[in-house]
Amino acid sequence: MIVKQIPVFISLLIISCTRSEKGVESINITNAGSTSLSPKDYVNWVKDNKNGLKKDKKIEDLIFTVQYKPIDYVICMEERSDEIADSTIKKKTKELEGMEYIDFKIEVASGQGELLKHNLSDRAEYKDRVNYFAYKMQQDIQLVEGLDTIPCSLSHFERAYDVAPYSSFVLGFASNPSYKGNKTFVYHDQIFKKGIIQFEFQEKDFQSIPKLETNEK
Amino acid sequence: MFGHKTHSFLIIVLFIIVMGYITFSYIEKPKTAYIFIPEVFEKFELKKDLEHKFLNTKNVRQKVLDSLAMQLRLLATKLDQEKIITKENETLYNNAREDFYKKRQTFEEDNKQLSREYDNEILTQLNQYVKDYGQENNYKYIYGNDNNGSLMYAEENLNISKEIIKYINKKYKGVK
Repeated sequence: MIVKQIPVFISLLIISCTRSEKGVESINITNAGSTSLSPKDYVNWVKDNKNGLKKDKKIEDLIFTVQYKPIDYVICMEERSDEIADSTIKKKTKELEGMEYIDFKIEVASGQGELLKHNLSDRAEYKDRVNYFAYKMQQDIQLVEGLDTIPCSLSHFERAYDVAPYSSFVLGFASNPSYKGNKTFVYHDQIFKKGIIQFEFQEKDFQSIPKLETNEK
Repeated sequence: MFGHKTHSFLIIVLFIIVMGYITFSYIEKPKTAYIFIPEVFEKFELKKDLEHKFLNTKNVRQKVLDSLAMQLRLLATKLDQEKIITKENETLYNNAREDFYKKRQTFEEDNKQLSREYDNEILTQLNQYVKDYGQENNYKYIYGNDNNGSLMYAEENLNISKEIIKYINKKYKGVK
């Protein structure tokens, strides 16, 4: 009788071990919001796809990537130091608050050539693309927060010329501090005709954002 | 004693045959499925979103046409009421009429072009997401049934349209 129960016991043990591992993982995620990280670790955390603030999507020959940038992340990227004074953070936060920041990147999946010249039909089309990315693209970008659609109010096109197979865009949206739910980034691709590109940032991922370690100076 | 040994031997042989059959059928049989394209296309959220955008654009264009048609009707009424139609008014009416017909033709062509563009955009994403689903779930083939005879028969249990609809909509929304 006891011998017969051994496999059942072993199975239960395996299941409970698996569950406890998952349990540890979920505790880490839940507590991430209350942990403090150094600027270097903070930047790595935000850039890690697993944490939900960076997402990408391949559609045929192109890869679209979005990086949601918490204000502390923007400060870390500007300061480029692993020790940032508390006063600097407070000052910079005041300058940056009121907006939400997202980096958007369009990349040729093969990793070759310049995005602006990708599948180009003529020289005039190249100029049209530069003009569109520099001045008109932000009309086709929105951030949806619940029932509110927030237009893109800041757009900066970073040209890579022939040095990289992608183009990057620094985007800004008026923030609504009272909104706490999921946020959807929406871009309707007018150049490569890939349709509406969407990325959803989830509330749980915003809550998991760690705190930035500061130096009391 | 001899009978017991034979019995054990037969069980082992039978076990090997069964295991061999299972392994062989697992290795040899490619994982396949099919989707009913019209259903997947209709229930794809991108299709709904682009349809909404298309109708908005079409309605704006229609309003422009309605306004031009109204102006044309007013001019026609004015001409009807005049006892002697001046050359100037006649030219004004003819120009307005020509402008209306040109605009109507341009808008019709633009609407067709936009509809084609949106259909292509839907198919581009649909194809990509079905490919992603196939790769993630180790399918050798996913066939598309669009009722045109390209897929004449398949067992209903191979129809993965519902799973695909759920998957492609998650992918489109950027949740996955």
